[in-house]
Amino acid sequence: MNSYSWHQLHVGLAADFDVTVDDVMMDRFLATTGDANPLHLDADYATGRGFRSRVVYGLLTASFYSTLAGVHLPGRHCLLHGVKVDFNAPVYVGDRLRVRGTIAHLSEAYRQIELACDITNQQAEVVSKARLRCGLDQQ
Amino acid sequence: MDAIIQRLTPLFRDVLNDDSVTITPESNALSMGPAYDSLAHINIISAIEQEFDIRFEFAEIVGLDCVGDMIALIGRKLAVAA
Repeated sequence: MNSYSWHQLHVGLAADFDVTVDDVMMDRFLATTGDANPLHLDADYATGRGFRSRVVYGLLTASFYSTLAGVHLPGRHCLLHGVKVDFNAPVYVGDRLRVRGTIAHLSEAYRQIELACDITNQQAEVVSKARLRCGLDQQ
Repeated sequence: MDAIIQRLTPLFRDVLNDDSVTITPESNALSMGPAYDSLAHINIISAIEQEFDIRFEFAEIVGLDCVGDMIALIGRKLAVAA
């Protein structure tokens, strides 16, 4: 886990990691949230709506933004203030995702950073874009 | 002052998630209602910095009582940068 302090941060500082979405993640997300929409559970239903297979929950994909901020940038001292997220393309079970974030703004007065983020799949297609606002413990 | 208010209004509407928000120089945290909480204040400060390409220090922010004070501070920073 990274542990950036405020004075180590600067605009342009970036971090990324890779993750593969699997069936266990989907099952746990269903158990946690109760979102039983068939788009995420039933491959036949999903293909009938024009998708290749059942679609990964958008907020499961977006949950990796939490990992990005809380583990990678800024890491340990992060307190997530807010997330604005778009889901630009469907994600499927087995997709290999790359989660990336770059510091776009530092607000010194209250020690808040903004991260410009995206998630791409194994074809380098952008599946999600987001803007994260993170506070940092005073230090 | 009007030009700055015109640029501030969409920032407040976005942060407060309310397209009906109107601001005046007399507007303050109390008059903007419960949606203007501490996180909204932090987000507004960051949004203003990015909109006007200026930076605030904490000591400059704590003395502000109303939007008019903020407009004056923005004006001073823009004048220095010009």
